[in-house]
Amino acid sequence: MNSSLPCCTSTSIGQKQTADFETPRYEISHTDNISFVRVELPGIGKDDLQISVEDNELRLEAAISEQKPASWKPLYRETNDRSYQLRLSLGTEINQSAISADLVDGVLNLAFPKAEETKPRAIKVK
Amino acid sequence: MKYLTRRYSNYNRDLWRDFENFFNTSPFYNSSYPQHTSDSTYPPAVDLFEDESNYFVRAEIPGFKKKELEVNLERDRLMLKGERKEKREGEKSTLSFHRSVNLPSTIESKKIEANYENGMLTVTIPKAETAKSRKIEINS
Repeated sequence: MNSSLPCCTSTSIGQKQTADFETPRYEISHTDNISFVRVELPGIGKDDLQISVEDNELRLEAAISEQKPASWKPLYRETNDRSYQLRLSLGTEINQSAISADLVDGVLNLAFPKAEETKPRAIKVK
Repeated sequence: MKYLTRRYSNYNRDLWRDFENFFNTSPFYNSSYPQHTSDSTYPPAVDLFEDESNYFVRAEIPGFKKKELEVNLERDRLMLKGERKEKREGEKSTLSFHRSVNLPSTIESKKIEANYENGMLTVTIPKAETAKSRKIEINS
C-alpha cells in the first residue's frame, strides 16, 4: 500500500466525476405547445436539487444528502448513494425563460413550453 | 403520435439471481423478488439496514401519495403495496407494485413504524431485547 501523505491524495469533492452520478429514470412526452419531462428522484428534497439552463442544455444535479444516520449498517442494498445527474439538450423552439419545475413525492415534473412564434398557427386568408 | 421514453437505470433483473443466496442465508430469508403485477409497473428498489436497536427497510417509491401505499405485517412477512391511477397520453392506467420482505423473528412487531417522504418509504422495525447486542462483563 502506498503511504502517501494525506495532503497529496487527490480529493474529488466538488469535482464532477461521471462515475459518481447516476442517470435518474425519466420519461418525455409532448403536446403541440409543451414538452414534459417526468424525472424520478426518490429521496431528493427541494433543497437537494439544482437545475440550470446553460448552452441550450438543461442540467439537473441532485446530491443525495445524508439520508440515513451513520449508525445504519447496510445488510442488503439495491440502491447506491450516488447522486443523480441528467442533461437534456433543448431544441431551439423551447422558450427557455418559461421552463417550470415542480417536485412532489420524489418526482420532478419539468415543463418546456414552446416559444410563441414556433407554435403552429393558422394563417387567415384575406 | 407517441413520444415516450422510459429508463429503468437501476433495476436489473439478473442482479437478483446473485442475491438469491444472500436472501437464503440472511435473517430476511425467503423475501420476495421484484414482481411485475402489470405491464406499466416496476418494482421498487429496497435496501435493508440495521443499527443497534432497529432494522430498517427502505424502498424507493417515487410518485405515490401516502394513501396509495399500504404496509402490512403478515406473520413474519412485511408486505409493501401500492396502487395509483394515472393518465398517460390521454389513456387511464393503473400502476401497482408489490414487494415483501421476510423479517427475523426477533423483532417487536407491534412497534413497527412507517414513514413516507420525498418518494422514499422507510419502515423502522425495533429489535427484540434478545436480538440486541449486549456487553458481557468478564469476571476475574
